[in-house]
Amino acid sequence: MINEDLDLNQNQCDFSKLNYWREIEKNITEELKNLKGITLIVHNSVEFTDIIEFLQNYRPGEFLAVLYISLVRSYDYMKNALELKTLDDKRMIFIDCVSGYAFPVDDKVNSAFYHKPPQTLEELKEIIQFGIEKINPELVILDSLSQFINFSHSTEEEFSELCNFLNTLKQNQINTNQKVFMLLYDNKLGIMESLPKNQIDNILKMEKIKKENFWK
Amino acid sequence: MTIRDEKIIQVNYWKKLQKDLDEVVGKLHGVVLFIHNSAKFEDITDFFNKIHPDKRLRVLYISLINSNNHIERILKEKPLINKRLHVVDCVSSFIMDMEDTRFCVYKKPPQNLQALKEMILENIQKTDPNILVVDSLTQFINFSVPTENELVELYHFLKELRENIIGLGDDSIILIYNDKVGYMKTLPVMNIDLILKYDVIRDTIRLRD
Repeated sequence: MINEDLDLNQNQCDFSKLNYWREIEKNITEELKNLKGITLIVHNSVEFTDIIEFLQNYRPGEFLAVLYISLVRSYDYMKNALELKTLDDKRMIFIDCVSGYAFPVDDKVNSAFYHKPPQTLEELKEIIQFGIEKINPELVILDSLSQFINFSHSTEEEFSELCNFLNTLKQNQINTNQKVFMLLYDNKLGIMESLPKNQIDNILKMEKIKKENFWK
Repeated sequence: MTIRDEKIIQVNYWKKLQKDLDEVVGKLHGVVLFIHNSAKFEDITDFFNKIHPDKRLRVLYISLINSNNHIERILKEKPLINKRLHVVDCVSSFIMDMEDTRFCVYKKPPQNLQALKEMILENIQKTDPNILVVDSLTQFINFSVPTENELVELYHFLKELRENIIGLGDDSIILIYNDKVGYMKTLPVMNIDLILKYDVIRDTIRLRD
């Protein structure tokens, strides 16, 4: 059975089951320039260097403060990657929720904060709020939403929680200082059967095509 | 010892059509590559019905994978709105001799893009369509492992089609491609105006004993 719009909870959010995607490679800079609100970025297990390349297309030439909340990569790892591939026109500030340090830890590091991994979306919201108050960024990136939801097998309750979280982001944060939220999502867990539509303004997909060689 | 070496060939970026779906598909124009994940003909009729829904259009459907019998059966259940379908059935003649009707002609499958182009031009003269659909391009090219020669042939084919078919109106050429053969390592860039991807997610119904 195919349902174009399957409303599981009409008061909270509804889910699309038939997805149309437009290829935007040719005009990626223009598309990213026009982003507003919350953007879900679905990818197939891209590396941080791929994310840097993607960000190079985001308003190039504009000096922007970017808050990067990492639930999957350590600050050290990302710092090394940024030495290989640079983002000269962006001021990247990280909240590292991987390394497991106490919060806050080292005053000498001025481009990273440390936090223990959030256990709930409520805790995540507080971390985002903290980062926004500290940095006042134009762009907030969360890497990644996959830590909290699996769009291939999510329960109604999980979706409801996510929708509440997204609604709070829109109400509390977007209308104030920063304009764009990017929520990364790794779809290696399977085909995304349900996607939140009402709370998310844009959905982009990054599809990395790899070639594997085996050497003996 | 085996060492695995991984090389990134390409990163493709896609944007999900939401509020702008009617704007993009509703006003479809030009050469469109329509990629799907093994969608059935009934799924594709949903897409057809979104194209210029308020206009009465003629659609020339070159079918290399669906028989006219199958198409007619599906259209009884899911009819096209405001569209008249003319089918070139390249499937049924494999099985038996069929007699052409007003809305369907039976042909042997074209062996290459040149033969496909000739078939298209011949039937365009007869039907004067607003929309041409080729289902599917997968019969001629595999974008996971395309050779340079195949791509050059494809670009040449598209160029000729564009020159011969597209006018100033709402004309569209829709080339359907099933990506079940693997990730598309090469997306065609020349002579294509729009690339759309269509993900059909099916519900699984679990039956109990």
